[in-house]
Amino acid sequence: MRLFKYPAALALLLFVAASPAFADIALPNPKPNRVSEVRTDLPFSRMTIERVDGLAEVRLQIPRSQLSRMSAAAGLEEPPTRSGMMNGASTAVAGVFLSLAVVLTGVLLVRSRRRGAAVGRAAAALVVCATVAGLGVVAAYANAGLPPPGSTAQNPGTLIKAASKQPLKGSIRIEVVEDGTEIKLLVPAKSQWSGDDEE
Amino acid sequence: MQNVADIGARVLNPSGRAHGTAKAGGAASARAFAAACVLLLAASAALAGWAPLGLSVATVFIFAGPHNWAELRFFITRLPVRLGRSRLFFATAAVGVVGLTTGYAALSLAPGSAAWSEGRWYLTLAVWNTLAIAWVVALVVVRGRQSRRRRWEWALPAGCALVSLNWLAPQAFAFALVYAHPLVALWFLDRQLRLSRRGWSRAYRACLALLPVALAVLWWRLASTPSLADDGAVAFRIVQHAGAGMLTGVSTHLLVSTHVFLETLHYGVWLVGVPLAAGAGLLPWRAAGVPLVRHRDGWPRLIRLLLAAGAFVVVTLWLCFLADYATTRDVYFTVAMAHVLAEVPFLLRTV
Repeated sequence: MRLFKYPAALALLLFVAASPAFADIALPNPKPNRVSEVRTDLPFSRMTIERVDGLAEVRLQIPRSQLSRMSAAAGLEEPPTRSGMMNGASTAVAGVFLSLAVVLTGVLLVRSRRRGAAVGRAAAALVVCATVAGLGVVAAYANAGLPPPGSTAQNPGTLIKAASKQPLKGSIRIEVVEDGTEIKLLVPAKSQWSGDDEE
Repeated sequence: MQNVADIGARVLNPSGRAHGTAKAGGAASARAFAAACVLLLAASAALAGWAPLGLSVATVFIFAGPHNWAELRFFITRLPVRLGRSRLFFATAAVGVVGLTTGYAALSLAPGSAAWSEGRWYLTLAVWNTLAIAWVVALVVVRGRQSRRRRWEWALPAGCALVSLNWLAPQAFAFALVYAHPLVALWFLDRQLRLSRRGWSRAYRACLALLPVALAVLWWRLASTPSLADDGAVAFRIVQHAGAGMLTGVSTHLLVSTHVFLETLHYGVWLVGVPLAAGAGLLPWRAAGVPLVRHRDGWPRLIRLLLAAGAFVVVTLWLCFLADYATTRDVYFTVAMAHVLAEVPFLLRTV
């Protein structure tokens, strides 16, 4: 038995130590993106193309809130929400303390029975632990949250009408605006540049 | 050592009337006390529902300082002349109150803390809450070991369960503290009545049963009211203090009204209820009834100095509120964590 115990313990240790190492290995090359693929990894937004009378040049308006999300997605800044790692760590700490609560309640229950004392308090503690466990599970799942709205294909709406067979080209101004959540492409009603085709 | 209840009873009843007369008088005074409690409850709820922001500004301005002074006086009266077996208990209490308050103030008032990320605040709050729960559990365990009759080991699993919940939602824990703290005063008054005015205790408990009714009426009336305008600095602080940042789907009128209602009761208990129950001996400016002043091994000068310092702080706080209400309110509610924490050991001493 002893001959078997040490190799088994060593194998277990090796397995535990190797898991993170393998976990660090990069995934195989991702498949090239197909045009038809829904890229749920990219930020999403609503967009409006508006024709504005008197506008001198085409202007793309990006709300600041969208810009923050885009910067976070591009890895340029920290996302404003609590990170997934923090979320996981807090849930793990909560789990450890909940386990401790259950274990201590069990110990108290056993001790109170050994003493011949009433088990009411220990039973109450058990109920409390069960309630906390229930709340913990709810909170942990609540932390996971609903699937994000960008996880499904985005409806292009009437934007399809803006596309013609020929690609439309031109220079634009990019403006970051404080209000709103929509990206807007403001197009002048008339071009000031002679020789350019309108619409 | 003369009991504070005796002092109060002697002050209120110096003639030493006959037992029967005293009993009849006691029943009448219990009814008067219950009527006053119901009146205070109803008036607070009505005012809190009608003008929550105004009542919040007014009550904090007038009563925040004096009620802390009254609490200081109460706690000083409860301090034994000789610590004896309670030495460890009071040492743990002192370390916790000073350490946790300093930590809390450092976190809130530290330069740059307002710009911390949400993750950093989450972690900081969770750690502070964990330390606070650990401190309370330590106090319960130490207090429990002072008597064989107390089986308070259940505090350990209960504390672990609380810490577990705290790590899932630390903001909710802080939110619970804001709303639970005013209720602790009601518990103190109950214990004081059991000690010094047993005749009033039943009437008081009957009045306490009206508290959930008052809250239910308040919530029913205010659930669908529009949120309060929080465009001013003071209004914004009051609304945030009541938990508007957490319960975004709830009318801030309801939240602020509930908080102000409980706070008003809290102030009422400390400034009127407890001194009334204990007798005039517990009035903050009267040091003669304090055991640590009366006893030959006490510290009369230190206690008198502390109470005088309390009076000075009350006046200073009023002046600061007049000068800059919003900033003073921020600083007050940060430093006031000390009295929130100090209530824990003294409450445990009464149980």
